[in-house]
Amino acid sequence: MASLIDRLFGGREPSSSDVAKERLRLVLVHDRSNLTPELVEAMKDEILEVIARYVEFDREAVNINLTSVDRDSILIAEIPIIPDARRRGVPTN
Amino acid sequence: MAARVITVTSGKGGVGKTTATANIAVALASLGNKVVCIDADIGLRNLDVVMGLENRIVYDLVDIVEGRAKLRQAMIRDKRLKEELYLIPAAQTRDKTAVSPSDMVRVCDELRPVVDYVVIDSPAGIERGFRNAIAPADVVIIVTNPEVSSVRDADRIIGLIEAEGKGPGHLVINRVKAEMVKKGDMLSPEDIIDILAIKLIGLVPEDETILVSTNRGLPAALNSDEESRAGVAFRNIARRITGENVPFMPMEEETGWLKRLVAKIRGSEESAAKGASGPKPSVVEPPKKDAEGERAAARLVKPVPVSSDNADGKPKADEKPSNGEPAASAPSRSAESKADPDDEKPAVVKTEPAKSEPPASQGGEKPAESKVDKTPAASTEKKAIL
Repeated sequence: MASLIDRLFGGREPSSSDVAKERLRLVLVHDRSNLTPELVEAMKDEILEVIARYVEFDREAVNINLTSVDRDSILIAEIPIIPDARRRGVPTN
Repeated sequence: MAARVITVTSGKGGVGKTTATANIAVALASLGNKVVCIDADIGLRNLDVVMGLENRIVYDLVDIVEGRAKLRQAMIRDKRLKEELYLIPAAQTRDKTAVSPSDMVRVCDELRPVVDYVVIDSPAGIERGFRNAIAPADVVIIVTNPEVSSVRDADRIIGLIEAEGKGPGHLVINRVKAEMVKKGDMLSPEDIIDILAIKLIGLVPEDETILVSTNRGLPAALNSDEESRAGVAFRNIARRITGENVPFMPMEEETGWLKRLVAKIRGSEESAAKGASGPKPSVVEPPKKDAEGERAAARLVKPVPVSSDNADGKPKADEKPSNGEPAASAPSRSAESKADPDDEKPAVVKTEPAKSEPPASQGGEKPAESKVDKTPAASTEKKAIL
């Protein structure tokens, strides 16, 4: 299954209808949730800020995305938590 | 009689709402129903010219609402049909505020006991005129074109009618150019259904005969002998509204998406036959406990009778996403996004090019093309609907 990105970087030009479909998908995710891309970014930052108060996590590997399933908007967040060093028996001082 | 009120809307202007309204109304009447259409586009009256009844207007919708005319006086009979078809025209010199949603409900309630169908032509936009048009609706038909702005507007409209408790809507994709779809230069019907996630009730090809018939004020669906492909498509929509299971008309022979569509229609019919004992076409509501893939297929192409059950505003239990649980053969979109945690943009990566893998194909189904070719019944069926 070649995604648009694969096709873009794989050399073959995506058809204009493929481009239309991708653009529609992205714009509708924001339309349906009434959230602009800027607001989504702001929300992500705040979510991470709250989580950082409780656990340590790998900021590089964080993946938070607004997406649609059928007609419902879903916010999917993947935040890999770094295991607590003390529990693993690493001495801390 | 207890009429069903059907509102034709779109959000965006110029996609063919008025043409669709006129043709669906004519086709419903030709099937032997008593039909009244109402032009709800106050100030921009047009349904009268498309239907060819502009010279006979005496009273209009605002006259009824303001008590200057009785309902019966404002109903213009289309004498070209032996069946009963009437038009209630919009006022041309007033604006949308001359009518309220409750006025529309009252007018339609007066019509309900005496006709079979009321078909309302909604104005473009999402303001008062649109609110007026959908207020009395039992069924909402959303017209879209295979083009980004009208699909986006259709999505907004779908959201609004669901919020009003008038959903789920039924989609008509108008002005499909098979040749452009084939070349990858037009959104395919599959793409649009996939994006909007609502039921398809009509697929209308781009057809020059529509302009010719509008020039003459003779809706294409009026003459059943006429070789108008769009006219046939509109008559098919009317038959689906009455509960008949009509296969979707191919836009053109031998296009890839068309074959898949035919295969899917066949697939969903087979699944319906498996589920129900009798092959009675007008009762093929998606079974309540179907597999995800079958549900998706049903959502894609099954011609669903527009029963009043569909219009009661309650979302059906079987149409809810199955909380991301991956089905064996047809992974749901959320399941995919979980499976691909590395993707920067799940929304992008999730797109499966329909060419290689129709997202709604049924469990373990063979590629659509081989299915069509190998089954003798399939090829006769294909011939029959061409």
